[in-house]
Amino acid sequence: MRWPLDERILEVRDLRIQFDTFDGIAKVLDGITFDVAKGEVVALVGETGCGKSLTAKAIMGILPPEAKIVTGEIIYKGIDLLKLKEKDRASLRGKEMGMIPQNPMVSLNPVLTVRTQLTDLINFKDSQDVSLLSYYLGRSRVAEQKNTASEATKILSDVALDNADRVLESYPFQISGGMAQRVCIAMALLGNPSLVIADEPGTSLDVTIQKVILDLLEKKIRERGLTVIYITHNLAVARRSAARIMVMYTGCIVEIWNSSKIFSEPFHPYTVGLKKAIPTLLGTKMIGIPGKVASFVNAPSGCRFHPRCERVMEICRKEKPPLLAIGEGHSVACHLWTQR
Amino acid sequence: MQPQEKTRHWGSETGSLARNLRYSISLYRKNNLAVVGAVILFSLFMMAVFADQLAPHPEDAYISHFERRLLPPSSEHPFGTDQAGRDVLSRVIIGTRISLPTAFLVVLVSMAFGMPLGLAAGMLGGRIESLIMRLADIWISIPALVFALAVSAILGPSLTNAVIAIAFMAWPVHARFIRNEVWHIRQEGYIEAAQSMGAGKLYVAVREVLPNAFTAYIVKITTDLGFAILLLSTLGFLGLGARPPTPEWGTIAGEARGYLPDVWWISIFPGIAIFLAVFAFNVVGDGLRNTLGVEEI
Repeated sequence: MRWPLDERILEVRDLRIQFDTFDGIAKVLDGITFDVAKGEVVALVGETGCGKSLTAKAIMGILPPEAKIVTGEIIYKGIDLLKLKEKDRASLRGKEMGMIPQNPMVSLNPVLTVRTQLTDLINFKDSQDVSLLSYYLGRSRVAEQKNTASEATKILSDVALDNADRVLESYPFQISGGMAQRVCIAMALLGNPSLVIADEPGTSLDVTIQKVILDLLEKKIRERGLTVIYITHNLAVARRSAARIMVMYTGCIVEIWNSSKIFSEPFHPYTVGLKKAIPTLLGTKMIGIPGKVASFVNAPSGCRFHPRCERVMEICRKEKPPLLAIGEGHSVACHLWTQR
Repeated sequence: MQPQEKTRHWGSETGSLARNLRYSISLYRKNNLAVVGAVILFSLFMMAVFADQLAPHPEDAYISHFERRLLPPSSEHPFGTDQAGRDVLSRVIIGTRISLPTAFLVVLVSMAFGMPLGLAAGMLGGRIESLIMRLADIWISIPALVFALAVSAILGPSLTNAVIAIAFMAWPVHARFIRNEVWHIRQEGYIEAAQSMGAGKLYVAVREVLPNAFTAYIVKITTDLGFAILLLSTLGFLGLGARPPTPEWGTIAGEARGYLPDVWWISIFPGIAIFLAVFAFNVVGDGLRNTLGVEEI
């Protein structure tokens, strides 16, 4: 991968994560390597369950306890996050890196009002560790409360919520999905992170609201010069929002290229298949990819895509293809290239 | 450009606390039995507060009048008098001042131990969880009544010792309950979202997990109060709890068991009081379960 990255903010090197399951070891991330430059917007696309969200959680450091990181490095601004103590990593979350959650409707605490949750975050964001006692004492101070109250309104107006005060008094289930998504975006951006991971933003919303949310997100990215990793299975969203697209298949990155090129001139057979599978409004026939997504426990030998690949060769069954740069900013992991 | 967003309301236009409360009450009132339970509970609490005014012979809680012993129910003594000539109605009314506070005390003490331990087990996991939960498993396998027997044998029978014994036995149930709730809640999206915003374990435990566990916990506590009353009066009946002449319901019934079946009124009325209290706590718990939308536990 020889993408001219002058200032890399994030480098992920050969990241391998596995789960011990009853059926055996599930190698869910099988050597992920990619870079993200400062101020860049990239998209990580792939089918459901290919490890996109797990990659995001690994970067954030909020993996489920069952997940085991076997090898790999996640270098953020020159520091290997995996070598940091949990306490130091926790201090990065929300302040250096933020995550916009997948489903806004379940990402807000149902028993607290939006105001309480936002106020909590405002109180916590400035200081490294506020003890719970000082936090509860602070809540009773009127002046402080007034400050945070007006700040909360400002923060919500900032994400184009016009009835901010009413939303603040509501419980999460009283507001619509679009509103909840805005609140989540506001909360994720509250600590001024430089890296934002947007996990399927707007997927759970209908298309019109989704567009509004994406527009809002793009506006915020421009305003603040954020570095963003979009995680999505929606190729149109990726094409529209990101400059570079990384295509994932069952825990491996198979192709990285500019979003303007990757679907017009795809190289990897999987990317070709993805492109053909996009439904069009004109009703032309969609062609899916034959077979089903490989299991993680008994992953196919060699290239994990080979059982579904139309152009499978003998070597594909034996050897895993490395991710190689084949052109300006274009990397592919496929034996069609190595065998040339 | 921006489409009008629909807003969902939860039983109210403004989402104000008063409206939400009224909505909850309207849900609760659909369960008739729960309403009956709430009325009984309210009456019992009022009885406890105004026991001195309500009891026809408040001095009878402790003072004997042998000149009028074992009188059957009459207009003068609606529940009759006992073997020491004390008015049974007065003693049953004053008994609410013993049974209700001690039941709350038992539940509070077992909560004070069980809740933090269960929370710690659920949040920390690993060895700490195994240690706490295995300890709880072993604890639960000891029969509460047998343990209370042993305590009263060692420390002597008294109400205080009965409270200690029951609270001591009840914490594992609370720990287990909270730990299971924590496990469910930890899977929720908002926990992950909070973590991604920098929330630490303590914050997640106190501000995210506990408030969400509380709805189910309140239901459990309510039914637990009923069981606490039942256990305390069982111990009193067996002579292991409150000592005579304390007007504790179980003790009153236990003291008079030698006079059964002819002198039925001394035992029957405190028995009815116990039944009503336990029944009320249980159906109120049931009503709360429906109102709060808690699944069967």
